[in-house]
Amino acid sequence: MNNEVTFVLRIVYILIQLAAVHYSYIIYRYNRLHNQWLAVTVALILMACQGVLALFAQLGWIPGLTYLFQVLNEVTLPLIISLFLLAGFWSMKRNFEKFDVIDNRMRDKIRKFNETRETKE
Amino acid sequence: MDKSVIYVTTNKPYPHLVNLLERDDVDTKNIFFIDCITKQILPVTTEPENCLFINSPHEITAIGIAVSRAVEHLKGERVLFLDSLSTLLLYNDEKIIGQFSNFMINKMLVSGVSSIIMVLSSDVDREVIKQIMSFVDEVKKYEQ
Repeated sequence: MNNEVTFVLRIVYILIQLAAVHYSYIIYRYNRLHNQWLAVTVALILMACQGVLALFAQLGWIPGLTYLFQVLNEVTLPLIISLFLLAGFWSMKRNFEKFDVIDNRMRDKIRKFNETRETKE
Repeated sequence: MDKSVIYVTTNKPYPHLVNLLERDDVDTKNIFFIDCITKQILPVTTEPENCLFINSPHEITAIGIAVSRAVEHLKGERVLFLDSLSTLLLYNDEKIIGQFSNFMINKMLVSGVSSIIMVLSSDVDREVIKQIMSFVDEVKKYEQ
């Protein structure tokens, strides 16, 4: 692919990642139920960093592009990102299950509460 | 059927609150409590029949779900008593509490539920409380 096109696409990718970071942080702030939710935000930040590194590499701003850098950008970072995403979404799942539990417990309790009141009357 | 009250407590644990109400001859059989503080003090405790424990006043979504279900399923005339916004503000962002209050007040309005929301007089000058005061029907001041 043309160098200019990949350059533009990389910039668009970074901007989209930053927007995703912003929205995932807003979602966390809305509930603040669990700090683990921030793992998704961190993963998205790392993805943006990965994009920045790739852009710098393309621009030749990373002198002596080494095998170590390649491993970092193509293996280590994606692995860390996946782990953060896994931790974040696992924590979210637990919280949403909790909402479901509260919902069901509340229905059950209100039903019993209504029955008790009717019996007493 | 008598009025049923949904009492959301964020600063007095259920056992203490029930003692206070019974001392003042308030019949608690028509009150359903949503207690957001007891579990923070006593994580392992038995939940009474007319009460739901929420882990912490921090859990604004859980409080919203519990109140919504209570409003939907309680029979008869219903009243929501929220004690207090000041405590919720200690645990949550002002903006979140503003959005939560707006949602709750409107939800109660469309469900035909009367709401009483308590706030400390020291918090009345806060921007979020001023906003909330602008969309309630009446503001009353009580001396302790």
